[in-house]
Amino acid sequence: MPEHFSKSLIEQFRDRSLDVSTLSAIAAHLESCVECYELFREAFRDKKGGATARFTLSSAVWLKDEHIEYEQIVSYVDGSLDAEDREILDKHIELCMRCRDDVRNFVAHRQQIEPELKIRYVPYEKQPKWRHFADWLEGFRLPLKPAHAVYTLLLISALVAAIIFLRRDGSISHSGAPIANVTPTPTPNAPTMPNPIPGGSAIASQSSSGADKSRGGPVDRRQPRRISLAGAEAANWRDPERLLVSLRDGGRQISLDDTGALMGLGDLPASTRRLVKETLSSGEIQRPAALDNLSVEKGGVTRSNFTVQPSLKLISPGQVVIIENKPVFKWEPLKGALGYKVYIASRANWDGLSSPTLTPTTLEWTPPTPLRRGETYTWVVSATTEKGELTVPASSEPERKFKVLSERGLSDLMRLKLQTSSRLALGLFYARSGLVYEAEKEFQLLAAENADSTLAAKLLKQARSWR
Amino acid sequence: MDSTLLAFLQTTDADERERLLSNLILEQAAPSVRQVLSYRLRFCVGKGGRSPTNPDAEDLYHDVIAKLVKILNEFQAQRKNAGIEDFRQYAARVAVNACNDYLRSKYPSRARLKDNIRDTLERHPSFDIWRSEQGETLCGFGAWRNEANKNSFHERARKLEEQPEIIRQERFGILDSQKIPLPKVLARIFEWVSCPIELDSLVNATAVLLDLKERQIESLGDDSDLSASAPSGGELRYDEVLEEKAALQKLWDELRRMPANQRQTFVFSFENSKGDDLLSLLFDAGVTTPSQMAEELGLSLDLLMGIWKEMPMRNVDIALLLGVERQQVNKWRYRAMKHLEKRLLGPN
Repeated sequence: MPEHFSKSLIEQFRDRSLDVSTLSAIAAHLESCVECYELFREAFRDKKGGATARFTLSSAVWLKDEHIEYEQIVSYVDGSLDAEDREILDKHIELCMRCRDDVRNFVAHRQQIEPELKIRYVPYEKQPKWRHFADWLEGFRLPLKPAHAVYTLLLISALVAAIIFLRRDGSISHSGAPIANVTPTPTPNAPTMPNPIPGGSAIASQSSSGADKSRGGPVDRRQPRRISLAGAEAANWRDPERLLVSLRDGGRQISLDDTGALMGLGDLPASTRRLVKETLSSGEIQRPAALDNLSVEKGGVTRSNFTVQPSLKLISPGQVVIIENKPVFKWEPLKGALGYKVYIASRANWDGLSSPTLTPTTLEWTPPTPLRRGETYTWVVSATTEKGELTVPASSEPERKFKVLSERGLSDLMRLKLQTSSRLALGLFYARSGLVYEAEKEFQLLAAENADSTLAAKLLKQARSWR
Repeated sequence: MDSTLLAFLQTTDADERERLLSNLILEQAAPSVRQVLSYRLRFCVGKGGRSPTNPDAEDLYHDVIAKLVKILNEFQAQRKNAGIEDFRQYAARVAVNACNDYLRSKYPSRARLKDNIRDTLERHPSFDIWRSEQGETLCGFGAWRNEANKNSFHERARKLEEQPEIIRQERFGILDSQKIPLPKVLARIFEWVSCPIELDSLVNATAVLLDLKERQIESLGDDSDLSASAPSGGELRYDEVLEEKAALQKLWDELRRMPANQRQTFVFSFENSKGDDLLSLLFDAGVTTPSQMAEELGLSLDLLMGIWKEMPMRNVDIALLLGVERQQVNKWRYRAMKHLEKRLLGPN
């Protein structure tokens, strides 16, 4: 080992272009030799250049390259990921259009094949024609004597005559196709089963549950049968008279029958299906607890030095939950205002932020940094006039509060939107989360699609009443 | 375990190591990799790794070989094999993954079709998908699974594998995927072929039947296909910068407090705005030395130097190094990032 290393060797060390043992030897030497260590620093800085290097702690930077694999897509759509995995995938999906498209495509595929899972296909066991004949002959193991041949011919003649007679009578329906196809009565929105495959293909029959991959006993090729109900989605041929409620929903038909079976929403997670069923059964939606916490309260401090309140009204947000964590704060103009200032404070710890003084023509403001998700905020606008400062809402008025949708709520929403286009499901999700305006919008579309439905109108009315 | 691999991992002689490495790569891995590339992608790569008419094939082949060399060198430095029993099979698996990545990035529509087909095979009561004893992914009617051992590969299956277009000529024409559901298409193919077939064969045949077209917007190595919508300004609240030296000291202090897996994952993958690795930065800043870092990471200096050569590492490579799934590495790295965000940048 030399006393000191050359500059070129140190540069090779810096570039990591040496073999492992040489790198180790130089590293060990640098730790004890100040001169060589300084040489390394010099070489390293030569490479780095003048500017200060920086690094980011944003996971978005590396997550964008962590594309989703098939198994992850399945777990994501099935909702079987743990919270952390889901958070990671949500972040990636937000950044990566390709994976977002992959998930969307997969969700669409799931929706498309949902009714198809009830159809049973089995292989058509083709046998050469000579084999059928040989099998037939197998039954005649007796020595072929002339008398037997005569009996056989007589028997065949009788059978042929019987078949001709029955066919004329129409009592036997005969299919020339080697296999049968039974098309279950489709739901109004279910795709129609295509015709039997020409030349002999698969049997379309039944299954007790489309979602379960059950491999039961042999399938009756000629007489597919309907079986008893095992699950709501299996019942696509149900008696319409048993339906409690039926709605058109984003191009599909959804319904709930008197046994509590929900049809047409097989693509939804269990919790959302439950919510939809409860709503369809009860015919109403519960006011979310989140809104109770945002209901009007009195403010605690005097914020105005005016005795008579001139007109300054806050427009939005207020008394609802919002999705955006950088909402736009809007207010109506105040006559004679010289400028405005917006103050936002967290209800949890009164941490806050404020806008700079805004010009009199500015009537909205977006905070430069996002608000914390899951937190409730209160906000005021302070207008400067020649007479002094006016803050709205005043202490005598209800506080203007809103809540930012939590991280969990946002990721649930993203997943739901990827999974379904159901107005009802999305509307109920929004309603339950306190996203009043979004719920109202979905129910409005649902009501437009179901002009004759009192239920759709009622849902819309309820959501509107929460504003 | 493979005797050559075992000898390679145990030898301390540099010449012997080179000889065994050549043997592992050229005699064992390369034929497997060529076979996988030919089978999966119909990429023809010669013994010397040349494919004059197909630069993609050459690139992919050399990428896989380079990855295998890297893995072997890392295992050698650690004197461990991360549970490799059969190196040929391991090389084939690495090649299959590379082919899948290639297909996914080059042919996203086909990759999506494959996902849909896999899902249908797994969920539909009539179909099944399974691994043969030879490690192939086979599929067909559920009833065929138990007969799979008979290895009743049919002439039609071979034809379909070699020339998927045949399925259209034979009897089907082009199907309208909007009108005919995927399970029905699969049933028709299975009916025609009359025996279990490889998943990729099925995907190719289905793509032919559905007249699947790729949008010509993507190319390998082009990040534009990611179309990473830039996070909104608000979402970048943690994307703050830290001044180098003081920040590096704080960073290292925090890393030392972290669970070992998170610490390793973070250090191995770290890269600053100029592409510098963490070891170089910390050593240059006088925050820590290579020996101290090796100790903190629970590694020998030699092994750390071996890994240093590869830094910054991708998560998938860290997963191979640590012998865990990529998702596990993602989680460790994510936790490390969140911890650091919280500790170094505060709640806002």
